[in-house]
Amino acid sequence: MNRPARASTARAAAARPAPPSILLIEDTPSLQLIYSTVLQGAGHKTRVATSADEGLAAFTAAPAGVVLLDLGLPDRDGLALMQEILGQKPETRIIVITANGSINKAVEAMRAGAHEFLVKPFDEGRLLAAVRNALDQPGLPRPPFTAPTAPGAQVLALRPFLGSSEVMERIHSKITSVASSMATVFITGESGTGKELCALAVHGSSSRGKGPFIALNCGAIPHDLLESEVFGHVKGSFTGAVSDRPGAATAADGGTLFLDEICEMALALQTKLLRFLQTSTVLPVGATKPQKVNVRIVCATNRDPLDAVRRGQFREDLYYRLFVVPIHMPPLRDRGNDVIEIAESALQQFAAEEGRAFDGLSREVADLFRRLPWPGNVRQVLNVIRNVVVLNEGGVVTPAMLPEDLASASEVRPLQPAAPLADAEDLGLDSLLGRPLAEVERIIVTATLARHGGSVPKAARVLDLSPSTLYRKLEGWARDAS
Amino acid sequence: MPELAERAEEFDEVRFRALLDLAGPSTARELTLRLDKDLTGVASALSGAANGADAQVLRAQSHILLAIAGTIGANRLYALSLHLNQMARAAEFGLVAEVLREIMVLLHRLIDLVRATHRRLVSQTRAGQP
Repeated sequence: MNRPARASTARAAAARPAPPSILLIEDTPSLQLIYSTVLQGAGHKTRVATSADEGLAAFTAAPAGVVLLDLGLPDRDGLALMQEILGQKPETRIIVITANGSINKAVEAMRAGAHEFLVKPFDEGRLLAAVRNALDQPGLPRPPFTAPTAPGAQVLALRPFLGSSEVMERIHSKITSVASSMATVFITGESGTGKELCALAVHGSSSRGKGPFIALNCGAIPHDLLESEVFGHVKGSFTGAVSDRPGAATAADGGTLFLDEICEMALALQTKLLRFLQTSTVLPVGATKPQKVNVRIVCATNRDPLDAVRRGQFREDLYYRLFVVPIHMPPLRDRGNDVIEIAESALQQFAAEEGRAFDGLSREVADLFRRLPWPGNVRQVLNVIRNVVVLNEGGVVTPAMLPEDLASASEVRPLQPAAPLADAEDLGLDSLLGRPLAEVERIIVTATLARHGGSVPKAARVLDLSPSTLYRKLEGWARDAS
Repeated sequence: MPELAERAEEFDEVRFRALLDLAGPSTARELTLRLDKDLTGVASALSGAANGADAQVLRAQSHILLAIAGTIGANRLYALSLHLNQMARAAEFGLVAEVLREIMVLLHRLIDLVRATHRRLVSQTRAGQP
């Protein structure tokens, strides 16, 4: 709380017609007084409670639109109280307050339906921004899903994701449930699994759906330009900065900022991103005055983010800030019959685009598609179908129409080690010493696969690799053997 | 000692003053009273826990202290109480006594400052100043 509330903020809030009341549940008397003073100074009608029981009684007597809830209450677990409040009035926006070391609890609260969280100590700007964001959100019922139309939507964006497998149904349901919250969504998954489509679906299902969706690939932009891309710059701040330029964070004001390949962001910039998340303000390169923005963050990576934290490549505090609602996009090989739905849909769409007439997939092709490991996931399927449509006149798609290297890839599965070198149980250090490292790697991989019945996903998990990496290794070894 | 604590200036008076200004005279008096009570409570609980390295008390009290100190501009106290909180969470008591010693010195200094501020606010009111 380093600055008095700005008069303009107070006037704006005071001008709001019949503002919903705020209930502040905080047990430390001095902090309670400071928070309520800041809120009232900005024109927010605020009631206070010093315990869970008192807070629940106050809410039951007169429900508040926004509840600021300290999770560390003396008489009851804050999360349980939050559930009870949401049980009474699900549209209540709950901003949980926690201390620095209890960030896991805040994350848990976000997953359980909290709108946002504040980490003590926080300044008045952050407090007012969180409350303003909560008040700006429309109440339930949530808006129905609308197809995303923002730039970057891929060919299959008529629905967010094709496929009716159980795992995708769960993802649809998760997207719907997180959409109305401000919670940061962290999407993981192999390349080509549809992480950006997932981000678009989160954006499109939310009340920000009509706002901008700005996607930034942190891995594709040179590190020295990334700060300017994210936060913008002012004229003359560096060579080539010939005019003021807003960054992605400013462009996404009122909408969603999608940070793809987040684990590739340089550590120095991660610090600035963390600051941005804490303050909701951006400071363009070369600027002296921060700008307030209202942005929801969705990020994605094809790496294991926790592993990046362990390796010191990703800040732990930023990880906990971002990893609030995780969504894992499954690889296509784990999605059952979805591959057929996707291929059939793409075939129709590409045929229409190319002016050809195709009659679907033959049974042999469908069987082959189900067996293939698809290391490139949906993107690979789309490329294969595009190839078929461009190089053939039409009719039923037969195996002869498929790219040649695709047929050979089918031999990768089921995965039987070409020449089992040793049973996993027999592997001792002595048996590995003196061998080239590449051979040791192959022995370990082969034995791990054998131990897991040839399942690449399971072996990959044990080896801490992505399945696509493992598939590539196996394909390489198969080629070497042939 | 963590880097943050070494770098932190002891007290950001501008920040504290801004809070009091925001509150206005009447609420500022109430705020200084509450701060006195909360900080004295923390000091009392921490001195009881200092010898026994009671992790639960250290954790709970450092939690309150870091929130208050960080909010009112007691930067070094905030950094130290954050450090104490982390040590209590990790049950690493090696440096607790050393950190606590400094915390107690700063905490009592802060309580003195809060009380002096309260007295000043009261006397200003009596003198009819805003």
